[in-house]
Amino acid sequence: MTRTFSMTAVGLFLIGLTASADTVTLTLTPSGTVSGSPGDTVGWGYSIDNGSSDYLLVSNSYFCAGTEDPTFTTCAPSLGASTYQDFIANNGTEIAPGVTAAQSFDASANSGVGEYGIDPSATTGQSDIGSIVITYDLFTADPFGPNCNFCQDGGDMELTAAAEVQVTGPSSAVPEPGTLAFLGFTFAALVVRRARLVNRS
Amino acid sequence: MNSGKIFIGGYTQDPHLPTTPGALSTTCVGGPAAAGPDTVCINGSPNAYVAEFDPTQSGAASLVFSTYLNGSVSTQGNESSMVNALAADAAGNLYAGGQDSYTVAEGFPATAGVLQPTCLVAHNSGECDSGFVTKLNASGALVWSTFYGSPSTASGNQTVSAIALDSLENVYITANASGLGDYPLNNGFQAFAAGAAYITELSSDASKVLFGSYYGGQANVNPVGLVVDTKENIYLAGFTAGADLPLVNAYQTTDGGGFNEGFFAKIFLVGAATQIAANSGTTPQSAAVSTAFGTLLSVTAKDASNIPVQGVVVTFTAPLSGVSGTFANLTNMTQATTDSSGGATATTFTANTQAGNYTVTATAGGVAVPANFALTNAVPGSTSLGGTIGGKSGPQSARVWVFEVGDNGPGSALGAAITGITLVQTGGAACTPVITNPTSFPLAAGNIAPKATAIVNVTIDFAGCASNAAFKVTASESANNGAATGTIVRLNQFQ
Repeated sequence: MTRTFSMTAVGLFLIGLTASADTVTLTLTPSGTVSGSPGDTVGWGYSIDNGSSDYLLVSNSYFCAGTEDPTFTTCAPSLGASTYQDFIANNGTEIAPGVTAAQSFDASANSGVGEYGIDPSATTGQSDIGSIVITYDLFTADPFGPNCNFCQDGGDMELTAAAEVQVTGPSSAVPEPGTLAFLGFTFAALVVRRARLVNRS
Repeated sequence: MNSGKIFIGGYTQDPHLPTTPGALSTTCVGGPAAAGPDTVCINGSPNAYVAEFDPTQSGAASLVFSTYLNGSVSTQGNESSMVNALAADAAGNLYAGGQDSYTVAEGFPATAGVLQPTCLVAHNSGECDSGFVTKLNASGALVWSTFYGSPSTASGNQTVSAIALDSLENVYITANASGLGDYPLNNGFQAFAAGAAYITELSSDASKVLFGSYYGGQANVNPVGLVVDTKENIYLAGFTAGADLPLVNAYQTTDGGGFNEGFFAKIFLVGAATQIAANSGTTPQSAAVSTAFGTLLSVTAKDASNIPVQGVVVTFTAPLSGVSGTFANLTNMTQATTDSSGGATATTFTANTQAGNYTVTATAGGVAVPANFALTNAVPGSTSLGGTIGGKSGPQSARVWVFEVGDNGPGSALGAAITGITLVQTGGAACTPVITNPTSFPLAAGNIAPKATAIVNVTIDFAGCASNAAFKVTASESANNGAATGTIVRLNQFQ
């Protein structure tokens, strides 16, 4: 598969800010709208503000076409044979209380929310309009730590952000690995990110 | 019942029957009064008697009691009594059934408070014509005694030909009804027919009829044997000249010829309905909005012994407003009466214009718990399924995970179910959680309206799993006979 980046800002950002509201919010970075050629892989970074007093652990992410919701259907792209692959849950993304975590999309590093593989037979001008839905659970203590004994606080919850994939011109060349390397990434101590093997099969 | 004693009974014209002190009657009567004590009896009519023996004793000591069971005066000179059947309970009480033509005025021992304390039929210038049942205690003292017969003025040979007891000491009697059609009936299974036998259950104090019915007809039906089991089922045997017995599951269904043939019958004693249940196939059901449900709503009413009860009025009630439907009378309520199989069927039920799930109830007098029909007014069309894990609770060995199965619409999801769940461990020390409930899949979630969810619980035993053991959970879903599917996938799940 040819893989390219259509976003103008790639790289990984982790912003250690104390959340000011007692809510959890999602912002797709750098934008909810991404574009690429048929056969390309595009995706989204994220900024999640955990304004709650609990630990937030992501359990899945979806690209839901139209107004679909994973509560009612198994969300998937609607543009032909396009695919969506979760990164953020497979990465075991955990956000401490009051912390805002951010990460840019990088397909080679499996970072960001997830990747969207544009149907190779799609045509320029087509689009897939929908939303990124991230499901998560809250815990009164770090679920990976020693102090969580049945500490899950409620059931599944969802974060939703509008997302759109636009099909542009012909596929571009695959970037060299070195091109990606300079972009780098950074960790913030307030964000707990646990590496997970990612099964991309 | 076994008290260890031996009882005999019958009739005699022996004036020297060895009666015992305190006997109910020590004198054989009947026959012309002027003929003298011996010849009165010998030349007269049969006198009933009963006696009890103790087989552990010998000689005269073995006779516990002996008594005539007759009147004291033979007004007409030809009165008679006969014992045809005996039964005894565990306490050694003796129940004697037979026929009698002595009246109370002539000294027959009827007691107050019983069903028929006097002979209902007097004919032949005052003679009685009735069956009787008499209870004596183990010492031969009178406990109660009742006439038992039809009040019809027609002459017959009313009698009791067989007798049995149940565990409550209720008394079952039977005989040919002598062509009389007004024996006491109660919750019977057959109306009178000429030649029929009667079958009656008397209360243990002989004060009322707990069950009364006729059996067979046309040609005479003559019961000679009667047994009641611990479930109060009645077993009846006898002979008949007719070929029209009511046959159910018969070993022999046709008259084999000859004048008389034996018969055997088992009769379920039916009490009042105490339970009703929706019949299989009638719930759950779904129908498209504004269309009739495919299977008529029906219930079966049974008594406490799970025997179907006929004649029970069942009321079917649907919600008055909102998601509901109407019966053939275009209202939300209808009634039906149970048939001989205990079944009652409502008229056609049609879904209204609103989609969703609701319950139609069936109720009946004396039945505490209604029968419920889970119905769905479905929106036609395709759909797909999704869902969430709504919560977790319970101890480690029996954690209950709440799965919510969602219907995306636009159509309804009928017969939705979780068809399988897998847990793949992704973190923590290795362990093996076991799904203990359900023990197999699919796990039914019912009918789901568009954009609605249904909750199903799954119990998982996480014994041996550390608190930081993490799992990827995949739950597969199906509905509409497989036309609608979906999958719930959640990573980073802890017990």
